[in-house]
Amino acid sequence: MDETEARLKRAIASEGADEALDSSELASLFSRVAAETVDRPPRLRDRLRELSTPVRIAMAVAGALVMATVALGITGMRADLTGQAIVRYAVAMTAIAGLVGAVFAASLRGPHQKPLRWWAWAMIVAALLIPLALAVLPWLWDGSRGPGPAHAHHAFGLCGVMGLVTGALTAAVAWAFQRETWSVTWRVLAAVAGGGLTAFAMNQLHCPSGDATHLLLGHASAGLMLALVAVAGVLLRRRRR
Amino acid sequence: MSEEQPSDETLMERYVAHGDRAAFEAIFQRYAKRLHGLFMRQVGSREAAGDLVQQTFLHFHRARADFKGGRKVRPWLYTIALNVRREHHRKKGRKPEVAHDPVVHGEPTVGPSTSTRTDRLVRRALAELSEQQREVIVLHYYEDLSFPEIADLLGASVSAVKVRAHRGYERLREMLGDERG
Repeated sequence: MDETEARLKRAIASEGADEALDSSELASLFSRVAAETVDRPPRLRDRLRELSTPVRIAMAVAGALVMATVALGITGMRADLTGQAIVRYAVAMTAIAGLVGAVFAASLRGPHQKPLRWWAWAMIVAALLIPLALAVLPWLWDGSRGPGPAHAHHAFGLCGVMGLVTGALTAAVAWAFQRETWSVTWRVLAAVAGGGLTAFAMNQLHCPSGDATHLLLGHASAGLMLALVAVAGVLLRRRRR
Repeated sequence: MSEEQPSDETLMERYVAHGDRAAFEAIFQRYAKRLHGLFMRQVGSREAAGDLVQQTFLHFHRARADFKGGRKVRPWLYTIALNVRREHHRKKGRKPEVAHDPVVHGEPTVGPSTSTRTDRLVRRALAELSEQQREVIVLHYYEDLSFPEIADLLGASVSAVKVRAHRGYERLREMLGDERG
């Protein structure tokens, strides 16, 4: 170690020495930390976010699956999917499930992991917009017997309401597993993006409508609407502080 | 007779597997002061630095199920600390500032036993470095983290970290040469 290096090491080590915590401050700080961690009986939310990251991601994706299944159980599944249409739908639904998993994985990253790179944030924005893009691909969503009867008389209709409920509940489940490590805006956007994709998939499996306006507003808009509400909520909360 | 201190990893194993409060406290006692010093260099306030230490250990506690046996505790904890600090700066909407920049804040009141003139020069020179260079130098020289560990927790390649350290070190040497000359 040369002279400069030795002085450097000594200087860095002594830097702020006069401002170091003394033993009473350290004890006080530990009691604050312990009150939030080891001394506090864990609540349900604590138990959920203290699970390991792979388990939290798996449970958030499972939550989305359960929400979509329950919603389909209530609204009923479309009956015109057979043969080639089933294969096409299976591929599309698998891709959507993969994207839901990727978005939830991004939002559930732990503080012990590297921060997300720009492309992960781009993926979250894309996940919010993808249902809208998919909704304008009518050939992808045709059933085996061609476009089904337009049972949706309203542009938004029951599909829109069920989509919002399914999307919000899915986002709430994903949110419950988050550890509050990263920006609240991005975490909430990731949660509602996953919710919006789940709502879109559920609606496509439920409603055979080929009406472009109904597909855009009733099937594909849940994520974007929830995102607007969530961001408004975050901004309002920030302003109140 | 001196009793050998358990390693960080042994304490972590006790804490994760058995919820051992004493093991958690021992890890806290080992690192809280150092982390407070690390944060002090960045945020400039004892209270804010204390809050960041508290947040670091809160996240450390929440993330304990993700700690895999065979990993080292120290780089794992520092990754959390740097992420906490990063979020703090993002929330504040500004780039990290140097708490002890003697040019901006004046010389800290350090007694003669801990601060020689040359040490003050080194501190002044450190404050002149870019944030990236200073971060690597502080983590390497003060926190004793290896270059691969620093690369891992900064999300950079080992060679990039070495380049930052080398350039920072050369800049320090240059500035100190100027000051003395």
